[in-house]
Amino acid sequence: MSTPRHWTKSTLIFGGAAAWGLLLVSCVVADRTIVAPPQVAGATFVGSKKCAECHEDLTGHFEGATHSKIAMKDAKGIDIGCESCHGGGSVHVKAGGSKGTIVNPSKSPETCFTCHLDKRGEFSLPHAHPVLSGQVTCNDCHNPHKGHVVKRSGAELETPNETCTKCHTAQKGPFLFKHNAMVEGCTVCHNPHGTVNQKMLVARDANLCLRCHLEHPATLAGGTVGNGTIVAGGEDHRTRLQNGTCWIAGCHEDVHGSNASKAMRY
Amino acid sequence: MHATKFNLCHGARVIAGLALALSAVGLYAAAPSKQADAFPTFDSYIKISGKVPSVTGNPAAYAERFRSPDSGAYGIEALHFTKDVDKNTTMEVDGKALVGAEDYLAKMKLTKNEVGTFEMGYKSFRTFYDGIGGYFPLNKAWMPLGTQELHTDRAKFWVDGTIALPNMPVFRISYMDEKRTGRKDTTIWGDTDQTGIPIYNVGSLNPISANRKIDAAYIDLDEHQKTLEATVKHTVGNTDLEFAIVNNKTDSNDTRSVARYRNELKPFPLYPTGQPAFLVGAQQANNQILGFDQQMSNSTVWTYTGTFETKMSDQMTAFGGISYQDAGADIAGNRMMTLYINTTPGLVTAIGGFVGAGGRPPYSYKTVSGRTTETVLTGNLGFTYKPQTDFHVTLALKGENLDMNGRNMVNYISNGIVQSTGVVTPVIVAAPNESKRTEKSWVPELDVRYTGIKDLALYGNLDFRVSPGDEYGNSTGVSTGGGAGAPVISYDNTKFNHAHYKVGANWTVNAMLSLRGEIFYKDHQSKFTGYSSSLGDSYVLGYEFQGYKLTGVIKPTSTLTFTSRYVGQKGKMNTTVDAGTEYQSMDSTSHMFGETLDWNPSNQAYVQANLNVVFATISTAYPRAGGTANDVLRNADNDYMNGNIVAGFVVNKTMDAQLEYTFYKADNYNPLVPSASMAFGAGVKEYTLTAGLKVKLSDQMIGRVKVGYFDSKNDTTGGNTNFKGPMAYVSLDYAL
Repeated sequence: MSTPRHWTKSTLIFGGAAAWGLLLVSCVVADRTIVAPPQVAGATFVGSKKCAECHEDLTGHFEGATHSKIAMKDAKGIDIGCESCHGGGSVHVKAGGSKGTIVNPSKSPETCFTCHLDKRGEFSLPHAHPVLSGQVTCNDCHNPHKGHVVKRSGAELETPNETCTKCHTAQKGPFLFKHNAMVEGCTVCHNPHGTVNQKMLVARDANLCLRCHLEHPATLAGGTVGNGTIVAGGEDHRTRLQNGTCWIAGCHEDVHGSNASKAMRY
Repeated sequence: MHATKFNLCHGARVIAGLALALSAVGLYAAAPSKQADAFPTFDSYIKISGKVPSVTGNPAAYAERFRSPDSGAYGIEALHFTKDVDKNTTMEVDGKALVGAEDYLAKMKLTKNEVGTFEMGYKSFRTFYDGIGGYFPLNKAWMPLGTQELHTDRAKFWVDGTIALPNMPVFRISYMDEKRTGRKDTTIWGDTDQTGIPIYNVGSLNPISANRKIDAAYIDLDEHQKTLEATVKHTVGNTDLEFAIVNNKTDSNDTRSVARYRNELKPFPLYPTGQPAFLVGAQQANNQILGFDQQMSNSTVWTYTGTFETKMSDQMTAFGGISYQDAGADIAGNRMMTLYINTTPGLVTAIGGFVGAGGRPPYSYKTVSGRTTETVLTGNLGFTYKPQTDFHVTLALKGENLDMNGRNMVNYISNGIVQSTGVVTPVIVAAPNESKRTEKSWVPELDVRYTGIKDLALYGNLDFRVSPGDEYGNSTGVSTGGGAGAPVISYDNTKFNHAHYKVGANWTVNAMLSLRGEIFYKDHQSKFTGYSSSLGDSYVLGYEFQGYKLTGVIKPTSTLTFTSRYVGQKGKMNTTVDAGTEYQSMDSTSHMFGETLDWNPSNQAYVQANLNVVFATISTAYPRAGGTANDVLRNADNDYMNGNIVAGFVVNKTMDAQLEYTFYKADNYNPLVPSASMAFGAGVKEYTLTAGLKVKLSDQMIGRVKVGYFDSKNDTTGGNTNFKGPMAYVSLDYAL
């Protein structure tokens, strides 16, 4: 990675010095607090009970929510569970609930990234759901106020895959020949937060499929361990995998389930 | 093309500049809190903006990465308008219209206190794709769809009304109409012989050089979904009740276009003497095939759900529900593979494979048609018990019964092609398919939480899914000779045992230190045991993952916070086929390190820095396979590092400044692999640098301007998707 000529070290140093000088003559005359998101400038904690006065529909079930385990309290022991994500509420209360005076995680993921640092990294990758650009929000897949934070998990009525197929309808089925990887869940092959690979795949090559489909070499007639074969479905796939992935043209293209072929072909 | 070592010097220089600028800010103590010069916040406003890059390199790659075309985007970035229509009624309007990025929103919501709400809106956004295929470094083979971006649009229209009168049931009805249309790339790449790998076997099917599948392909999407939902909620005594009916209709018609052996045609008359009347596989191999795969599904799903939650006492709450889902889908499709072949009279084309030994590919069919149905009956019941305020136990049980049936008829096409005359005679082979599946699942779940120890929260959760079932499949393909293949019939008893456990603690040590830790463990086993004519067949997949999540928050001062997070995970998978030996099919490790620094050196400046470093490897065949197989497939490494540093500071009474540097680096591309196979690992280096000002122009107007530079280099594509250039952004917020 080479630095373009006009972005030299000197430029930055002198630019920094210029900014320093500018600050010397300016900051002292400006009375304004600025903070990095997701904070609210000048706000202090008011306690969750205050939040419940207007937002009982959201706070009413929070006790059973996954995030209630955070159990945040301020120095005086007051429950600040709401404000640990929404920021201090004093300015919001004083403004009568005005917009822009409280952190709204459904508009920006910054609040979630405060604890889930790794998710900021994943959403910043080239292949990720468009959360940073605002077209998708964390709340589309997660419920911070009630029940499991991963929607539809555990003993809830619906299944986790429905979180994905509500948008990705072509993958919903029911397919004539289901790929049983879907029983394990969409996240077996995709990381919805983002990966370095196209289509948010957790592996871009045949390793993705071989995790479940690699068989003992002895499955192949006459085969022995370490004999230089890659056996899947009772066949040596070594020469086929030279050409590309398992789902490449002419092979197992219909990975989510097929309406034509038990071997997951179109 | 090996990824060169990441040059951190550039980043260091940038950070040095930022640090110097910010060192000035740090000299100031906390400013007074009057906020006399605070920027105004607007309840109602419109934000107009424009962004223009000047891209050098691959514009489609830029568009995909930045979710915006290289021609830029402009328009209304945000609109919010609030008005009290009368004493009890509020109207809110939200909007967005970014031309170029094709990002639109129009939403209106009316809220009348103690009556209800009405909302309707339209939203659409565009996703860009670079349309690339694979890159083969030996001869720098690169076969993209073009340099212009592909894109798909997601659009949604909705109407939602709620009637919530005091002490009355709450009624809600909503309708949603969603579409996803456009063209996107796919990783189902086509074949080419243009790889430069010598062919030493004169009898090889490859006429030029060895085959690799790197030719880019695309899918045209036409997906439509309509959802009508009606719910009623009511509270009777201590019981909250809810009943919902949902009708969901989907209509998908997606088509994939792929070229195999693009522009290749095995020259005539290089066929051996004594050739058969019909051409067979060896003669037609690796000629151009243009594929058009169409998949259609038209489904209707009815879902009826009833739930309740009863507060039985201060200590005990019961909850549960029942749901019945009835889904049916008409399925259809075509797989039209058009092949090109030389005959004595000249070039002929045909859809489908060949009649004759080895003549099955390119396997094609038309008018596959059938229907699948699925019913799912689900119920759950749970209790939350709080023996004391700080102790919370939830025990729940879910049961599910799934029945699926499906059948279709596929009309395969084969062709008799006479070389001497060029006459093509299609042979249609009708082949029926059928499948059935049942699952009867039970999922018990236990959740425990204890916060009775000062500054400490302890929790644990486990669920265990036991799902016995049965699968039947009858698949009839087309034979290599062109007739119907022998049906492949399978009968399997299935059993899925999926267990998940986690325990954790959150401890606020003192005002300066908070610690959080969680241990999780997953243990899955999926078992398929053949019976009837499949007796003796079996497949068992077992896997387990275990890991840790550790978070520490350190606040050495009131203005400085360090947040550290580590997520580590190890996994192992095993397969056992038929009566064979259990075989480890995978082991994986993942280490994710995250660090965030938040620093407010004064009330008039902030610095936030984020860094993520990930080491992740999935290993399957390598190195266990041994021999030449080790050259075919290496481990899947998914290591990367990315982060950013952003600094903001007050310049004067009417101006704030912000500087930001972001970077991303992945170095998983192995240039040694392509000699025997294909290298897919990500090898990318990129950064962006921006400087912006926020200016208060008046009490009703705030302006922003930002300039920056971006640079992205991609080894995996041989540099064909590199892009760089400056960008400029300007916006204006105006109070309404």
